[in-house]
Amino acid sequence: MSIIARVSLPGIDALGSTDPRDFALFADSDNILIKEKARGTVSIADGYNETIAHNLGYFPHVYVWAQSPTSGRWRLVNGYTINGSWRFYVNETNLIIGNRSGATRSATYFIFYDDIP
Amino acid sequence: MSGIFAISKSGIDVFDALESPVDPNDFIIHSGYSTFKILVQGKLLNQTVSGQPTTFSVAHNLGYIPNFYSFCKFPDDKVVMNGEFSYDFTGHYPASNGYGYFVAEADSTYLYFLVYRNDGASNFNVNIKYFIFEVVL
Repeated sequence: MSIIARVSLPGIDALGSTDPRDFALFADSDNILIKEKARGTVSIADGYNETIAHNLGYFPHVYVWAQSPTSGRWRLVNGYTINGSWRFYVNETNLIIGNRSGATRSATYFIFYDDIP
Repeated sequence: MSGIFAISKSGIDVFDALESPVDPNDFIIHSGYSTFKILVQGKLLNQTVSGQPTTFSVAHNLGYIPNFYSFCKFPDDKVVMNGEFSYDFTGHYPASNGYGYFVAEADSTYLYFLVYRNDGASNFNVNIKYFIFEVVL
């Protein structure tokens, strides 16, 4: 019998779930040990920005994903794209996501407690 | 019974760190905060880029759009993430400045890797590594 280590999130019975989403540590697989604060999905009109307050007082680790204007699939947003623009930046108070993709589309964000020194 | 599982960072007393107010940055892991778990990882090796773009796909069949990271290794040993070129930040498109451009996308069934060739570039091969997380987009 193999031994595994799992640490469930608050309110979850570690012995009653096998869904990785219910765990802070799920040692059945490798984990990226960043600590999630918030996540959400926002719909943003073309040419507009969405401001998501995190109020951490420092620059946190964040990821943003958004719909491609050409395929409708989802991509990690970073600084440059050759076919349709999404942008984001983060400061000590907010995450700001900008849609310049040509139509109203959705973006999903993840904000972590982990700071960017 | 509920409890807390926590490992503090080097030089930080875990019991002190658990005193209120808790700073999550004091911990390597704390059971109160979720992490990203890698469900699947894989490689596509020696994939030939012959089109503009050439698209490679991998079925994940998760039934939802997953969060994933991927990396593309070009023949000049430059490894990039989504939305990046294989050149030295000096320009783009001419083949003399590098090989191409990498885009990674997902829907509820597949991952798609699109590799663009720079103008005038010959066919070339890339390696792609991907990590799929349990996180739903």
